[in-house]
Amino acid sequence: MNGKMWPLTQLTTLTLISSFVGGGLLQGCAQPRYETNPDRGELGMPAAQSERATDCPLKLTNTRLCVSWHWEQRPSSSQSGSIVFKVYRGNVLDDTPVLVDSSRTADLLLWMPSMGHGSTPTQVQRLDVGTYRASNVFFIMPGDWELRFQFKEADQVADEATAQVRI
Amino acid sequence: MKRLHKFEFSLYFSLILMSIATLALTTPEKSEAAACCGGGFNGVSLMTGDDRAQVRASVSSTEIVVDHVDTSGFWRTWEAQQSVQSLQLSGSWLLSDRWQTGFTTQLMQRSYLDQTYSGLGDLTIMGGYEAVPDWDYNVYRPRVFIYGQMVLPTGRSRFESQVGGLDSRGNGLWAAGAGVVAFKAWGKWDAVAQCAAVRSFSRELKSGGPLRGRLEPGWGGSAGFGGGYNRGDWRFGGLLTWTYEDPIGIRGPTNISGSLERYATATLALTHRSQEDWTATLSYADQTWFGSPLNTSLGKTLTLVAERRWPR
Repeated sequence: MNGKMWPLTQLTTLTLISSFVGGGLLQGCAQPRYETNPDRGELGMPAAQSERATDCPLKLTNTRLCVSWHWEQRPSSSQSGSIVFKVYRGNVLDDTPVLVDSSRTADLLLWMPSMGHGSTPTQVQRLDVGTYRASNVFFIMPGDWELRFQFKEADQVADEATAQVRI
Repeated sequence: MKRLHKFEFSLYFSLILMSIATLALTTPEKSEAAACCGGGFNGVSLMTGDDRAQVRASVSSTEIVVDHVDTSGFWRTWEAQQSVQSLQLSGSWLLSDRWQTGFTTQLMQRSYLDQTYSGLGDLTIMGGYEAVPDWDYNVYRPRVFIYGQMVLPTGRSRFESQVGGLDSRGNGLWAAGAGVVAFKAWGKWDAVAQCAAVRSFSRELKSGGPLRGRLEPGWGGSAGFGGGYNRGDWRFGGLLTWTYEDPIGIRGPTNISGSLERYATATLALTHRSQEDWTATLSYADQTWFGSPLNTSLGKTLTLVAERRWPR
């Protein structure tokens, strides 16, 4: 290669590469959008639409039963909370909710569908007719989660209702 | 005679620089893993220098600084955050003049609040071929390597975790892929470009996990470029890698469609060649600087690498 041409070629190549790389880097800089929802509660959780103690918005998939739920104690990033949920059947006269015990074992699964993982297992105990408490409700990270109210037979999920919550 | 001697010295010096540079440039590939829950893929242990074998050990510590970026791109943080430590071991050796093989595996420890889980991660086996050699030290033509890799799911999948992915150390899926690495050095400067694609295979979820059904993964991949400056026994370099993974759905009693995951990892690395065949690298990787991350956690990682090489 011509000795006089070499520095010029090298300089041109370096200029082109640095323009390409520099331009790409500037275009590709991250632009964080932090979640700043003014409706978030003290613990960073808005009330979900399905969180009602008086009606029964969550229909189970395989029976005519339905579920309502509410926070008994809201969890934080370091403390677990608890949820009370109730199971109803429709009154034969006017289909108003009537508390009923499920013949199956009640459980609550916390699941983060976008990331494909759950959280630590909850513990469910029966409090009264059709009334259950899920304790050890703990979310491993903030985001959109599902509360999967499950009713199991021989450790298999026989019926399920799902509520979405933003943590 | 004098000019010839000078040429030989330059050639030898360039080879040393190229070896250091290729080590430092390929090392940051290990940061491709997603910060949360074992996603992403191990980097491959590809030899791009003039060696017949190499063994590399690295220790890294990751602090997760953004707990979750959702599917709309909103970043969320909490006071309590996960940390991940890993010990990675990789080796590669020549099978012939242009063919090579190697492996990468790691032990991982993930901590959150008072919980800590550790164990073996996925194992990656690699076969590589030097597709475009640079025997005549051409000014422009890069050395180009192509490789195939197989991922053995020796790490627990986050889909089967009972503790929110804290004990997951890989995708838990068989996967196969291929990639290309191109490398070029000009005097004290060097540059690298790489891309890879990986296809994960579906399988049934193990019983005893939180869900039943069949995992339906898709394609994943990464692409990146970087460069560096060499001075004496030292090299300072950077690498920017974008990583993407298709949604992983669950089909069965429970149907979950999943969401795509993507993030960019920027890595700065300082490498020192302490002896003829030993090299040490300190690198810092940050996933908050570049890209438009989706459906992932973002971390900052400090890694220390020691490598022993056996020249041809």
